[in-house]
Amino acid sequence: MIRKLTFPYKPGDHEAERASNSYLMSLIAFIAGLPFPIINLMATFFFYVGNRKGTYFVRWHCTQALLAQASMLVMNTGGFWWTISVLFRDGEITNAYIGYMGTIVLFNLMEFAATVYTAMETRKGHHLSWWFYGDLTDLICKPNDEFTNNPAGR
Amino acid sequence: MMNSPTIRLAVKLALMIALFFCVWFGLSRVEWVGHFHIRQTRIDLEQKLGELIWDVIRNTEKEITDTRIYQPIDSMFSLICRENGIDRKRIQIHILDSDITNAFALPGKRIVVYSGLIQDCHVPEELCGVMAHELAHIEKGHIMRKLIKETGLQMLITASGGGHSEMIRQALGFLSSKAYDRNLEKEADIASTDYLIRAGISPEPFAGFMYTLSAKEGNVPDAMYWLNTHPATDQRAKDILDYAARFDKAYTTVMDIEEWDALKSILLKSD
Repeated sequence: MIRKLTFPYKPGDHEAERASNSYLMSLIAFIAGLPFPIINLMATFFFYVGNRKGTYFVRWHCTQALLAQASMLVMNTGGFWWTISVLFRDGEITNAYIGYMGTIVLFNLMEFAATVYTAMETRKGHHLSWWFYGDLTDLICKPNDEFTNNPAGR
Repeated sequence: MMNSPTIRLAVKLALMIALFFCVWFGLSRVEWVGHFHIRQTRIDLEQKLGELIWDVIRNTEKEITDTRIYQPIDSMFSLICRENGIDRKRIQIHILDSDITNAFALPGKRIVVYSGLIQDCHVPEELCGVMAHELAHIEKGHIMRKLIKETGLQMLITASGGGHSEMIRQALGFLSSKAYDRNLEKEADIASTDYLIRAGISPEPFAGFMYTLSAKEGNVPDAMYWLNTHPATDQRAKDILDYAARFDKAYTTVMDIEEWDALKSILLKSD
């Protein structure tokens, strides 16, 4: 699910810290915004915007964190509105509803564990690519001129 | 042509979505509702709310228990229940002494009919239609849905704990004077027409009753509550007639018109 790959260059300590922070940011937002999934995405998005001119390593990990949050947003929004519907509309608690809530809890826990692990490893300068999200990030996030001219990232 | 990374990505995305739905499907197969006694808890909540709301009504309105009035109406209602396989004993019907033209269903399977509405019915089949309509709201679970929509589930749970008379009065207000969602009304119209047809009661008088009410629309006296809670009656009357026309069935009268008029005059004298 998570592969440890060799990044095109060795990131500096400052880069590793910023890249790791992108995951920490999504974790903090995750805890703070549990009932309102949009808060998670917004916090990660603002962090991404703040670092879009950062180095390749930082941008890459900000993008991966953002993409992972975006898919969780879709699942959590479904759960959020279904719960609102139960509380304020039909009040029908069905097996499908409990099954859905159980599924999103499982996926959120998996995402949470993956985020914690990735934040720790990224802080050490390791490059972790998530299943699907890593590939998608590779497609979206390209090395900038700075990296092309100076692969060492200095 | 899509290159291989894009195809690989699409396959991974499809697998991830498939995994999500498989987990959801698998977890949905578990009988959570039965395991956590959710259905029973909901029934208990509905029962408790029904009792609390009925207590408020009983303390403020006069119930008619005269068997000369209650018995024939109960017989008509029992006929509808019996012919539709509905357990009559589960449902209580209350007739209240009031000029108000209204009838509504309460949580906990209770139907309240005001004497004003009975007086407005020219033939007993009209009243059968109204009772069948309220019965449909009960059988389709509309009452709790309406209450939850108006007040929220949390408030209802709080109110059912007792000692929240204002909340209970508010809930009664929603049930007796606010319209159901249009889709719920349509569902109840069709279900009540089915009930009537199965019981051998013509739905035409019920549709006619709605036409009569629609003629009063826009010029509604304050006491015409059933019209306020069941708007757009002319179109609904037409829909009932169109639906009933699909069935080729012979109908019988539930009560002679003389008996019905006699019942209404007893009701008038008791006012």
